[in-house]
Amino acid sequence: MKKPSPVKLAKLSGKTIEVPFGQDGDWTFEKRPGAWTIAQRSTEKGIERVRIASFESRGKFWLNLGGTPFYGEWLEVERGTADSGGARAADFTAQFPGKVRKILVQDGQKVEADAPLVLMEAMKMEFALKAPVAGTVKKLLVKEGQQVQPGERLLDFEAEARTPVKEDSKG
Amino acid sequence: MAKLLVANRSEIACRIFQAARELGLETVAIVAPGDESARHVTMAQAVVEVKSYLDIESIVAAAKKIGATLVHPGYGFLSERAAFAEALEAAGITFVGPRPETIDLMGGKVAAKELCEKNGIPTLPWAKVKAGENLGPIAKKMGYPVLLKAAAGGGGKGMRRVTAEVDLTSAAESASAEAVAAFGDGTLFIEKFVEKPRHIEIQVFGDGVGGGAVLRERECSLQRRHQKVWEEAPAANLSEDTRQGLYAAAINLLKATQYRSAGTLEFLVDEDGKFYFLEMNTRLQVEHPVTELITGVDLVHLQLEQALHPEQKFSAPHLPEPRGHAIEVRLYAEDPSQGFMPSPGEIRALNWPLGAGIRVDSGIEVGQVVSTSFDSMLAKIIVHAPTRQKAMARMQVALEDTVVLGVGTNQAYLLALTRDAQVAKAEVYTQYLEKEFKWTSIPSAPNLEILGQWKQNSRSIGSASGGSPTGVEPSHPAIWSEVAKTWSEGRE
Repeated sequence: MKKPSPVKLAKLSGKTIEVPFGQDGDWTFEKRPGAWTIAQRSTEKGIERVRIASFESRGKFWLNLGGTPFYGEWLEVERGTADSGGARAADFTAQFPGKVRKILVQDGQKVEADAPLVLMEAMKMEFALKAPVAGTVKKLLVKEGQQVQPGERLLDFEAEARTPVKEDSKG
Repeated sequence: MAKLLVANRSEIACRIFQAARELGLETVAIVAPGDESARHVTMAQAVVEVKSYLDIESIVAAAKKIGATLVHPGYGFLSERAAFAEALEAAGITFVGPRPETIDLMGGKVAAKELCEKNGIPTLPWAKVKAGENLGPIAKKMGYPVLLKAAAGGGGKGMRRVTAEVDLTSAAESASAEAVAAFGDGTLFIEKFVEKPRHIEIQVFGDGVGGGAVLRERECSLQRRHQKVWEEAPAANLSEDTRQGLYAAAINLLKATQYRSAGTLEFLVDEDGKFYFLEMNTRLQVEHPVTELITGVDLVHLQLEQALHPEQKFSAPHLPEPRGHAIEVRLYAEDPSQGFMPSPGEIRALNWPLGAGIRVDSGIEVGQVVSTSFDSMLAKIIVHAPTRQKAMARMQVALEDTVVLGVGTNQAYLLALTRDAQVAKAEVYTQYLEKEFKWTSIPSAPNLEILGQWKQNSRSIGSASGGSPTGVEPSHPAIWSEVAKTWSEGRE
């Protein structure tokens, strides 16, 4: 598993990815007057040029790198070492401002992985908060119709077992 | 001087302002709380505050106060509410669109289907849902799957596909609630669901006395959750029989309704080329630009000119020959890698593609806060080229040149569509994106290498310490968590 070259962890498109970092790179960067920065290097075939537009703030970044758009955030090393399974409190907080449309479970209810727990409404659409693993809803912390803000915890949840978590969160 | 208030926001308000200015009209925007930083507010010559974009009373009062002579409703919001058109007319203000009674008739959808049946236009088996009704027997008779739809509005809001009786009640309840939130009317109807259908729609423009123009078809089969993502004109792989049948149906309906202004007839086309009328949208559509590009007709100009000079004879071509091929994609502030969750934030940098055959209808500008209170569509990127193949290539280049930084968007997803073999062959149907389309959002190794070096070169923000983090299993993506961080930090 160990790799010799230093990397920096980034979360890109919801996945944790190792970005090569701290090596002697051969790319040079030239900021153009407009939106773009030109990355350039010499190869055997000649000069290779890649156009980059970027914005970075507080560890988060958005890029257009040679025509490929992506965005993500730099992770501190410790953050990547956290739990490798199970459920975390962070999974049960509202992630955008919205309204609790419907609560589908009760205090103490056992649920299977993927079971919808709470329906939220935002941008005139509905989103289901699903159980990431099988477990028990310990306590509901919100009511139907309630407006919630990002970071507000919706419920307490206890994972049943440390089973691998499905990556697909598509509702 | 004529003064036009646009009872809408975002890109469509901006697009209508452009046409209005070209015609020498004064432009007025409305703004709802929380939307002050939006581009349409910057664009207009005057701005009036309203309680919400759905508040008829407050918008009519605003139009009166500012002395607007015309109101264009755009799409969504109040565009298909006859009561809005009536309230404006009662106040002596011209509503740019169909007559209120036509909106009532066709916008109601149930009546529209009855009208179609009377005029020999095929429709799908359907039934109106009464509040609290047991839908089981109706659905069973039609055969599953069935579709529950909001009787008012469109855009996939208040729509649910149901495959089994057990889900029927909860689906009806949530569709109805979504319809109330989006359109202020929770009435539903239920209809038979066709497997692997294509979505083909006909753009019409009525002269108000039974004639008008049939401005050809658009194909909008690439949808997610019944929300269109990619639209084009003309439709590829459509038999000439089907096409002519659709045009004939459109001419019939123009006549039957004495239709005035722009409207769209939506059809499902099955694998045998048989078509079924779905609904008529009595308004301008999001995807109207592709029609404009292939027909050379400026639909908003036509709407405004008709509203300004109702006495003048209608002059648009009846059935213009199509020129080339046009494609539109919708750029949403949604994160495709997180189940298309809304991805709000502040727009920090923008660069729109330029060049031959590229059109961008944008609703955003730098510094604008994209919030979850409004629809997540940021802009439309539209291309026009001599052939479909060239239009696909042009769209790919346009998307590569597009830079929207500060919010998460579906740009990478749209780019993947331009490279998809099925899309290239136009062998798609309305569930293609959700059922079959595969794409990856992981950057290539060379890109990661550049990313790392770019990071090293840019002013470093707390570099990694504590040695190599290798050997660590990536933690599972917390559902929604990425969105939350973007939101809370993006506002600062």
